[in-house]
Amino acid sequence: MYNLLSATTQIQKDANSTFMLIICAVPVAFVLVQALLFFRQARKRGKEIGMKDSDINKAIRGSAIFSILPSVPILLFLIILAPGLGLYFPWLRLSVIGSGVYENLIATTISTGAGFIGFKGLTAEVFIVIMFTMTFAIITSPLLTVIGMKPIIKKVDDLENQKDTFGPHLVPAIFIGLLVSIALPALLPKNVLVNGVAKFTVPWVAIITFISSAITVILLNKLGSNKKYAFLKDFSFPVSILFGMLVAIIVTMISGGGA
Amino acid sequence: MRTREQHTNEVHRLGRVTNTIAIILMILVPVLFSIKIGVGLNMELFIQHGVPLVVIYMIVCVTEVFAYVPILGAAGSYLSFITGNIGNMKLPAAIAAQESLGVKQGSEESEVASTIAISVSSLVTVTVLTIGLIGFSFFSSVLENPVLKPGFENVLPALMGAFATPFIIANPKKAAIPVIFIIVLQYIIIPVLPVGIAKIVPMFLTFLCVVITVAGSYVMFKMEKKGGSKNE
Repeated sequence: MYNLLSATTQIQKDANSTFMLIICAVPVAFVLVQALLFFRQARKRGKEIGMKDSDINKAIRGSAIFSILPSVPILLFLIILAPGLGLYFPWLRLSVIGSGVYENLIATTISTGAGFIGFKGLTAEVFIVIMFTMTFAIITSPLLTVIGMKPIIKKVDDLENQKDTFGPHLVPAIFIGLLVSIALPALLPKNVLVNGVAKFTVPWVAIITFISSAITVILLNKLGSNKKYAFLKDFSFPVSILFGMLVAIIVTMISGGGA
Repeated sequence: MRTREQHTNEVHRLGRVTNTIAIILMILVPVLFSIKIGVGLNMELFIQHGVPLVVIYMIVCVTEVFAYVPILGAAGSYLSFITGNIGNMKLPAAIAAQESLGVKQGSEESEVASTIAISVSSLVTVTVLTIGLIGFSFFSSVLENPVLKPGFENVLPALMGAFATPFIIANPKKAAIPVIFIIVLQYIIIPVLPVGIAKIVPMFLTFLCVVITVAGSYVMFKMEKKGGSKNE
């Protein structure tokens, strides 16, 4: 387990210094303020267009509960990155802008490319290269929103308003493409390195987890459509996710961890 | 009451200003750290190992903006592309909020719902990670517990099972397009590509899936229209 006290090299000590904490905390704090500003703006607009307080509160409550579980695996990437990059910089990258997979891939690719095994014994030079690469690699998206968001949104709105054309079907098609691209890859059999040997493996645990939470959400929504059990609909997502995770634990235990 | 256009302009203004500040603050982190420890950016190392990654990610980022913006809307996109974790967190949170309120996608109500959901989701993620940072030793022992670990490792399939299935069941024909594409890509196309390219292709999966699904849906739309006009 990683421990701040186990930081032995100078760069590890610097990475866990108060200075690093402060320079990382500033953008995190700013993004929190930014989220609150957008929240306030949306809430104000919601009231202007006649949305009920109860609906707005429902959206707040629902997304807060929904977001807790998917946030937890991001902590796993903090555990992976902390031994090499310290606690604070990965905390910044994973809290705002980055995603666990991207950040880990960049850090690992550079440290391996520079001749290190994992993050062990990283030099200050490599550490700085990793920091700059992580920063510049993913800055393009927000930069593009600053430059090009208005025309993109306008074009999409124009297309959606063109009746009897493909325009109104564009966004639903994009949405389905996105969903499948996120959901499917984790469920497909692939070659996995087992003791250094590539082995074609079917991810049974992931597949059973997916099916379990899918069935749960369908059942809860079906029950929730009955007025008597309407409350079930509000909790169908978090309950289904939690049930899926529980199934993953049970299947792994039954299969002895090999599924 | 402000018109929709006035509100949209305010969203763009807030988004541009805050995202610009956030970008500057993020760039300042490696710059200030580098100055503080007295170690500059080694250009040789950066060009050799960093720049190729930056170039690839820049292209991925551009494609992701075009894929996600139509779904997340203006306010949701400004915030999502700063806070990250879009596919596994912000997108599901936004759609779940729209669904729970029963609002039509593309309406002003849906934009309000998704912006609230993305804001709240961002606040929750930062809070969870900060709690994790403070109690790092405790959480790492919990998350690395061999019994619980499979649960945390399978959050994405659990989340997507709950979130994606109702939409996929409601649109089986459209959903079949990216499903077939991903299977063909993974088992037929990628194995015959040179290793270097094969490693990069999955990074563009989201964009490729969106393009293929839009193209397939367009063909289906044209065919249905043709069939409809023949029947008339």
